[in-house]
Amino acid sequence: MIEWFHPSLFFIFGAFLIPFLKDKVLKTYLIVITVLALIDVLLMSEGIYWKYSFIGNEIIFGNVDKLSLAFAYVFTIMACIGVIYALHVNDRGQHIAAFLYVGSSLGVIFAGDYFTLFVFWEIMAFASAYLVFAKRERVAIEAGFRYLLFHIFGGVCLLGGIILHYIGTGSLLFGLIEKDGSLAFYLILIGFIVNAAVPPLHAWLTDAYPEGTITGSVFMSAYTTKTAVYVLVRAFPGTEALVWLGTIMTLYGVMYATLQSDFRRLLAYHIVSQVGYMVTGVGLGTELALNGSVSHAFTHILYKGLLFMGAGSVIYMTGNRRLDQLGGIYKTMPITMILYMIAGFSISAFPLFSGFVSKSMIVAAASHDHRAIVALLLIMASSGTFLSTTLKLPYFMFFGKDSGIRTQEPPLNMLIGMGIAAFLCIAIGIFPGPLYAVLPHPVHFEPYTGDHVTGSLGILMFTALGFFMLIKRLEPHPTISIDTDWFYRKGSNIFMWVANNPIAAYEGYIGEIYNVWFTYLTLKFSDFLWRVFDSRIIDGAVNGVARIYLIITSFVWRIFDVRIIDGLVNDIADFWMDFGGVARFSQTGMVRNYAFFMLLGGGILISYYLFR
Amino acid sequence: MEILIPTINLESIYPEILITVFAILVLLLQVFTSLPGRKQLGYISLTGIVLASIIVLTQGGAFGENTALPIYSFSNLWVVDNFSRFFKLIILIGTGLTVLISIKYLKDEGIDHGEYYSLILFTTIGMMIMAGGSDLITIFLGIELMSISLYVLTGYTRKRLLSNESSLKYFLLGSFATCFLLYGISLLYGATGTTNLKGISGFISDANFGSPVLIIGMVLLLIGFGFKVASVPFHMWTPDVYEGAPAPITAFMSASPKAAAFAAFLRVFIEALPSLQGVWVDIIWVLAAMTMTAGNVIALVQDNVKRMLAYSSIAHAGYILVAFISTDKSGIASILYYMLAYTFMNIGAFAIVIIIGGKGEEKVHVKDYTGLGYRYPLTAAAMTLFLLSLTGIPPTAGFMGKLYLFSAAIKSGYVGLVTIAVLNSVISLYYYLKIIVAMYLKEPELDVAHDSLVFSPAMVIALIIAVCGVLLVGIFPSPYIAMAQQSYISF
Repeated sequence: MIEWFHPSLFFIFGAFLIPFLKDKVLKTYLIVITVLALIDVLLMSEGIYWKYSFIGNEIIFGNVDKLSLAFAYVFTIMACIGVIYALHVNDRGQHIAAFLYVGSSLGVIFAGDYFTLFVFWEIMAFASAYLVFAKRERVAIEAGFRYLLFHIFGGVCLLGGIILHYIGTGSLLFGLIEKDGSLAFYLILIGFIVNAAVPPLHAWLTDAYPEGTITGSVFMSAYTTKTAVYVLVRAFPGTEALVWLGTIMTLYGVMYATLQSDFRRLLAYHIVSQVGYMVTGVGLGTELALNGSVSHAFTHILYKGLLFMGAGSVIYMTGNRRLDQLGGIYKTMPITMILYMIAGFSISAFPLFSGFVSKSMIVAAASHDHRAIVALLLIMASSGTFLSTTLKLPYFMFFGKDSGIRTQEPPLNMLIGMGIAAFLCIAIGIFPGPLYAVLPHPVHFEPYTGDHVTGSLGILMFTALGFFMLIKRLEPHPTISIDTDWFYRKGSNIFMWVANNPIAAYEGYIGEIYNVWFTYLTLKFSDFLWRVFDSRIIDGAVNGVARIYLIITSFVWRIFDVRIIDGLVNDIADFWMDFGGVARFSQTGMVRNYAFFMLLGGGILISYYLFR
Repeated sequence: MEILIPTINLESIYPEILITVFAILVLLLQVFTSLPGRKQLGYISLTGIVLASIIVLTQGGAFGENTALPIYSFSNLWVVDNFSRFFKLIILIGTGLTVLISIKYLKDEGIDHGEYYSLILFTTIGMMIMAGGSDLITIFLGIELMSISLYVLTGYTRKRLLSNESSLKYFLLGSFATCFLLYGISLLYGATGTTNLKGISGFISDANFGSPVLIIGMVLLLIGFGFKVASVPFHMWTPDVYEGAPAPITAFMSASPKAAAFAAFLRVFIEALPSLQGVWVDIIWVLAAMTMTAGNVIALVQDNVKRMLAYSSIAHAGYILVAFISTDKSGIASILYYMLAYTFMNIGAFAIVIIIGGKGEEKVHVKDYTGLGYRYPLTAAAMTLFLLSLTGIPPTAGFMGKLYLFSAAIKSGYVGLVTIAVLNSVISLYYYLKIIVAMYLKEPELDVAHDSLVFSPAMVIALIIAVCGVLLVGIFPSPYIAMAQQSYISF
């Protein structure tokens, strides 16, 4: 009897057979493999398995405890959903990449040492990059390149940290890291938060996810950031910096999301925002907060997958991904609309939906830890989420002005995939017990208290009110432009508002606060930020770095190698050639250049020693 | 006057004798073989290589139980130790793979003469002598035997102008570099009174080691070896020669002779000049940084895959130099391990360049690789594996190799240099990935219609060996690392 079987093996070795199968056999095969992996994970018991000695160090493939199991459950469940959703795809490369991606992320979850972790970490980056590349459009390929370069940067930081950590401690075992502020500590932290998409290291996510294939983005939304959350929970609980980074993330993501008209980019910004909650939870580091992070990761994978599936279905059926060009398609895609709305209510933590039972945990943890500001900011972000994901996006996509697009429901497999996810979102929301049972720490938390429910409903309702009052202003535009007049026009508006309503704001005139904060100010401010900072600076920096390298290299190559050296040497050579009258030799002038270069190098070396 | 009769220990040069016999045999047999039978000569050479490898493996017992080693013979001109055995194995693997990928190529280009295999085998002997020489003169002889054979091989496709040009360039510059080397040797001899490596190290440790003559001799040797391993600024021949040479020879040159050059380089600097370590470490630090950076950065803008791989091989020499300066046991073991991994992945990549290149090597540009992933999924998958391994992505041999190299250097405290090396690996990803993306993600351009590729059995075998090598060395590195660790130079 095998004591433990690594679930990654199903996926990684399973992937090798995919090229040889097709049609129905392939579909059955994909489902069988994922279900087998799910069963494998469900039957697992805690312990340490598959420990090997590898070049003098202990490596552990199976570090199974409550924390890794919680993630493994949701990863395999999501794999089933994602595979069902992607059954109609004929490009086998995508199935292979998805399998490798899921398998390697499970490998990270169960890795007991840094070495195994790193290996799976890198495979993840490459496999997921393929899901972007696979769209085979120029924009997608460029985004994929940026995505990979970003992850390789993160991977390199991680590897550097691991090596330093190993040299410092002599151990490769992966666990809680001592917060000694050493270089190793920071390098590993940077490696992890690149994958968690913490600003300003988040641009890969919002850049690449909207460009991925329809089914690929569903997978990507689930695994990369959540594996990062897992490793943070394991290694960095209670790191103060993460509290603030996470809080900033939640707001940052929401602000930018409000401005997007590509709805997958909008959803991608919400990943940043939602992962922010989890990162905050890790930073708080209390049992309640860590439970909150893990449970939020659990529910987030399901509802975010569902959101991407819903959005993907609309793209698949209409071929359009711009919010400003859709509208009125609820008539022809009612089921998709309903399923999408379930996810929308979940992400905005509506009572009885899954987000509520997990998100409130992190907020509660923040208030228990006497961090009122953090808690307040998190609640603010939550209402922003409700505004853009649950109100704005579906309003303009499914309802709103009729765009005249007439289509139909997506293929059955897509609907089934979405249905399972939707079912789980509601089930967890109503019966949080089973979810709480798998969390790493014992749970003494009751989400459905009168306080929680009324509090969050109040906020959400006011947000809704604000939305419908300002619906005109929120209408998405194909391009959001900003002029220099922004400063004085908006500046004077703000000034006028402050002058007119200072007391009103102070007294908690909530409608007006939300009105201003979440629709007006946020909108304009984030408009500005997104335009200037996100799209230009960060994307620009990544593009720019690559471009600078290319420019420098072609410069070095052309100017330096060809012009200057050749020119210089040619001149000297010409001089000697004329002088010596050995014109025949000029045919291989290049060799002379090379020889000259060698001589020069040798001269420098010798003079270094003689005159130092 | 007493005549010194050297101790002749033929057993210690059995592998070299065997390869010599086969080299001459191939040359003679070609007179009696008809044109279609020429490829048999390749298989005969392979037999010699396999036999020699077996002898190398068994000479003096298995790796690990090296109580019988090192064996010095021929008046201390020659040594058999684990270090030389490991390098000889790498060289023989490289040569064997080269012969396999050459057979079809020679037929296509109409140059399948016995001389080709014979020259390759002579090169191999030269390289093995470089690995096993324990005297500057022996090492020099090995270098010359290797280089002269290579000059001819580089120009072997006589009718291609590019090939002729590269041969001449290589010859001229190679001779120039040899002068440096020989001058260095003579200065060392002048300073120490001996050419024996142990003798030199013994002399330096008891006497004045700071003498300028000695230092200049060392620098000149550094230049000579720097040329052979293609380190910046002595690298400029590499791209031109690699581009012009017949593709199998390019593959060969980028693997085996580089390994042999590193063998001699390491042995001379670590066995003969350890007391000057403080002096040469700085220079090698700078050379390593320049070599990696120049190699990778210039590779970025290349469009010709052969030339790109040439620059990439320069960059890899830079990575190896990173571990060179750590000079301790793990540093040397990591170089050995990396050379083994590099041989498989680089020859593998070149094998695919040969397949795609077709007759006359016309399709060597990145655009010729577009859409390959759809028409030839296995070939493209193999190429992807080799390129990822060259980048250093787990779970390939290249990753383990790089990890080992860099951690050796970090242990010795060269964090700055390793940072440069790691950044370089990131840059290299870009150009390796360019090929992968072309293969899988771009629709073939209209004017690039792939003729159907032809796979000869020998080529397929070579590819299978290379793929297995990359995966085995990468996924189960322990036995190879153990072997490499046993192969530390014994003083």
